[in-house]
Amino acid sequence: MAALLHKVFAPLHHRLQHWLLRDKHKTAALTLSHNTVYVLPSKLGFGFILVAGLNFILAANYQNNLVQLSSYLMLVLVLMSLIQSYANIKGLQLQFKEVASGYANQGRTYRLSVANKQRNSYAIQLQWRGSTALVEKVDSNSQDVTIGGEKQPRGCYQVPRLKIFSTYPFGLAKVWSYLEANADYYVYPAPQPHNHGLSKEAIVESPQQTRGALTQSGNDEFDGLKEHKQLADYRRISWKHFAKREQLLVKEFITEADSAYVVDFDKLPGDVEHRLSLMAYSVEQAQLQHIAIAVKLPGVTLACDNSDEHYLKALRALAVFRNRGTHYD
Amino acid sequence: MTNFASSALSFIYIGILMLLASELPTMLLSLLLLLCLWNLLMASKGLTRPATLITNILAAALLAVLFITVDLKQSVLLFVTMLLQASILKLLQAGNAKQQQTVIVLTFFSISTVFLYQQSLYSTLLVGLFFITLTIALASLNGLPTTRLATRKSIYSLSIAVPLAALMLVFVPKMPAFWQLPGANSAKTGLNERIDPFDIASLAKSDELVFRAEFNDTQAAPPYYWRAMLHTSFDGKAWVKEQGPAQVRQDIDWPAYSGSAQIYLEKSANRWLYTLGDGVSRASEVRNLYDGLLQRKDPSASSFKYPLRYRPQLPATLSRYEYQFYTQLPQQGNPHARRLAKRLGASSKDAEAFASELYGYYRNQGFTYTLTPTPITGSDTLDIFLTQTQRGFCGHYASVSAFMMRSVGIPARVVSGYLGGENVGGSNYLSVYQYDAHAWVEYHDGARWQRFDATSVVAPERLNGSLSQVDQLQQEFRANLELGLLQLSNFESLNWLRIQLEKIDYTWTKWVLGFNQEKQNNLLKGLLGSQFAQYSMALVVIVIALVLFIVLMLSSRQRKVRLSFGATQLAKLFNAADASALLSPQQLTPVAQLAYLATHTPKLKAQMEQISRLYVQATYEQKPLTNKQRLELKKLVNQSIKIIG
Repeated sequence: MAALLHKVFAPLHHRLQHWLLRDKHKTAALTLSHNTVYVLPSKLGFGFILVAGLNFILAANYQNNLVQLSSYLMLVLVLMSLIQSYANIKGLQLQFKEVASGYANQGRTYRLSVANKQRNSYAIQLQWRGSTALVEKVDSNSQDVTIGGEKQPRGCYQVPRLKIFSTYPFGLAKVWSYLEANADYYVYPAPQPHNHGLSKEAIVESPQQTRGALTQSGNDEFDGLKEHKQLADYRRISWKHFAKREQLLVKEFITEADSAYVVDFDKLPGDVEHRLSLMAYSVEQAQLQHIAIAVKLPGVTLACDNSDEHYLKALRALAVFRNRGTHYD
Repeated sequence: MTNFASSALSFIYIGILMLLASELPTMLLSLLLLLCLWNLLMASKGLTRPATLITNILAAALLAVLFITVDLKQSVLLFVTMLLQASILKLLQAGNAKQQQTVIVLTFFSISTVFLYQQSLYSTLLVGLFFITLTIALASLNGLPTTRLATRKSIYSLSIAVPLAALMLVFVPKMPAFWQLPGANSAKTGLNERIDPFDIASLAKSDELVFRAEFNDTQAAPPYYWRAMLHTSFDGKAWVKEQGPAQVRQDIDWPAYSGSAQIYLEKSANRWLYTLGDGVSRASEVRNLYDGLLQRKDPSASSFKYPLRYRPQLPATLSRYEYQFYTQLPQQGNPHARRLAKRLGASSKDAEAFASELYGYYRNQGFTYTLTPTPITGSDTLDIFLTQTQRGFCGHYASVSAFMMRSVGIPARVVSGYLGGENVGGSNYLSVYQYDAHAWVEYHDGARWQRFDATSVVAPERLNGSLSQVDQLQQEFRANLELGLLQLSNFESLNWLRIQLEKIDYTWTKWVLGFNQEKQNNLLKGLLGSQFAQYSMALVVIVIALVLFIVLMLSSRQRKVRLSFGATQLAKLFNAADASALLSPQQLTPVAQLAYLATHTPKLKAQMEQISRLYVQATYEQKPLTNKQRLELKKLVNQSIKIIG
């Protein structure tokens, strides 16, 4: 039943909100003022009003002036809360910084800066993707706020709407606003450590491969390659990486940077996601050690390079590869 | 912050329980107090909250205690107790801010229940304190970083909200009761429907206020015999109030009642009201009974006000049935009292003569008035009192006298009520306390009912004021009084304090109880004129909107940018220089600008250098200017302006 109601009302709610908000919040920098701040009694505030109503009924039936007074007092207190909540958040300046791209096994963080040149704002809460950060006091000095967020599957996302709200001072009123920065961020596949060596091969700008030619399985080719790792001798082990990951890596890659290593989708085992994870790991490692690599994905080939932009491009390609399109939520 | 809120809530519930202590069963009260203390301990030590199962078991146990100890007929008490129980249990569980906020909101209802029982100034102040504490707790849970800030914010908000709420109370038209609710029963009074004083060893007197009477005329004079109940039948031991429906008076000759007073009754669970002589009341909640007594239609325990009209009792002949009714006695018992009555009756020709014989007997046979009589048990208690103990309070004398009168055929009845009342500092009202409770006799002399009060012979001072003011008995009286301010009344300053507090409380009670629909209508008509009285609601809305608008304006004032002394002086200088077009066309820092002026306007060089030195010291070296340096800077700036000008 609840699900059905949600199904019916969610689009309505969405449209209503769209109509109410229009494009006022589609900006990376926003100073909250009367036309961008929304105020209503909070859930607690409605409970409070209900109790005030109960007191009113009690007072009327027992003709009790003091209970009546307390009922009126509660009502006025809610009104005062609405005003003070609004006055508290008014003039708050929000400046979107970034949502850093990163791997799917890490949480995303939203970064923005807040300040209020007009007065101090207290107890400002910032919420995106279900996570909330509390800023106890905002003054005229701009301060950076990071809000942690849940992990997300790989892809390219538009930065979602940030909700700014506060229940200051008594929790009886809620003021809120939104910040919709027009920016994207990528979630790369979670790197999956592996020992598959990279095959050195000449990169040929191959013509566009047809998608039909791709096979999901095809592990047979790699059996031979696995032997490679046994060749590494101790002098060539990257102890730095061993300390970090408890995994033996062979420095082979570094020293022989002159050749092109190819991170090739087709030569890795497992399903698509698994292969992408393996590839992400290889790209990450290559970036750490500045090894030039080429990346081959069905339909996409990135030429051998060791610039930071190149790695970024590679990771982005992995993030959006055969994805269900770009996420906009 | 959650610990602060939890502790504050514990204290508030302890306060509520103490205020309602006299209403709640002792066992339940102590259990709930223990729970509050437990919560206080958990909050202060940061202990883990009990599991849901444990609180559920507790809830069931408390509910069982509730149903055992509270009479199910007392529906209001039952409701109040359940509310308190539920809130305290919820408080025990509430570990996080959200749950505690729910408890706080619930508590705003709990504190109102106190007002169902008490509306005195003191309880109102206490509840007001709870109210403030609750808002502070709410503020501290909603992001105000310190309790001090939360307190300031709450007091600021309430200082605006309370006058507005008071305005609403006065100007928003009052609603009539939506539906009939059961009254809050309370079983406490100084009076009893049974007068059986003989087994009482010590009359513990309470200084609880019963009612206040405000006289609208000057004809009232002591002694004030406040009549409440008639005890018309003697069952061998005690005089009891006749049961059954009381007879309601139909046609009342209102103008004949010349005396007039307002009675402000404290909470009481009894139906009977108080009147002087033959009384009637126009209040719709009051039933006018035969014998000039008043009764409340709805026995709810809340405080109550009624207008009283009174006059002395008029002549009335008894019917044959009434004569029999008022001379009825048990066949057996108390032979000595009967013999004595017969002996006194033999020498008196009528009822009045018998009464004076009886007065004389009490006076001459060494009877004394005491609050600590010797208890008398067994049968023929009246005889033992007359022959052996001969010490007693009003109840003893009234019982014996009425019995003796009836035994010789004089219609008699025992009346209970209050005698006197304390007139505080020359005001026009009397405060009547529980310790003023009194019993006396009314006998019919053939034409009318006459009062017979043996106390007037045994302790004549008792008639002229409150018991607290009778010198002879004061020592004994204080010894029997529960601890209270009154007990200390022989310290003059404390007595003064007591009287002042009493006056304030009187004004308060008068206002709080007296402000009803009718009073409101009169007030509104007086203030706004009768044609505008109906717009009082609109007035309230406008005033509230206006005040809230001012609050909004005040709280959205921008932070003032305070310029330092140096900066203001420099601004002055630069303005003058700008007017003479001496300033650099480029945007420069103040120090660079000063250097520019020094190089381009050589006659200013000396001043500019000194100004620059002072400015740098104040602004960048974090060394505030001394008073001397300030003067110097000012002088330099003025000099330069003169040179420029």
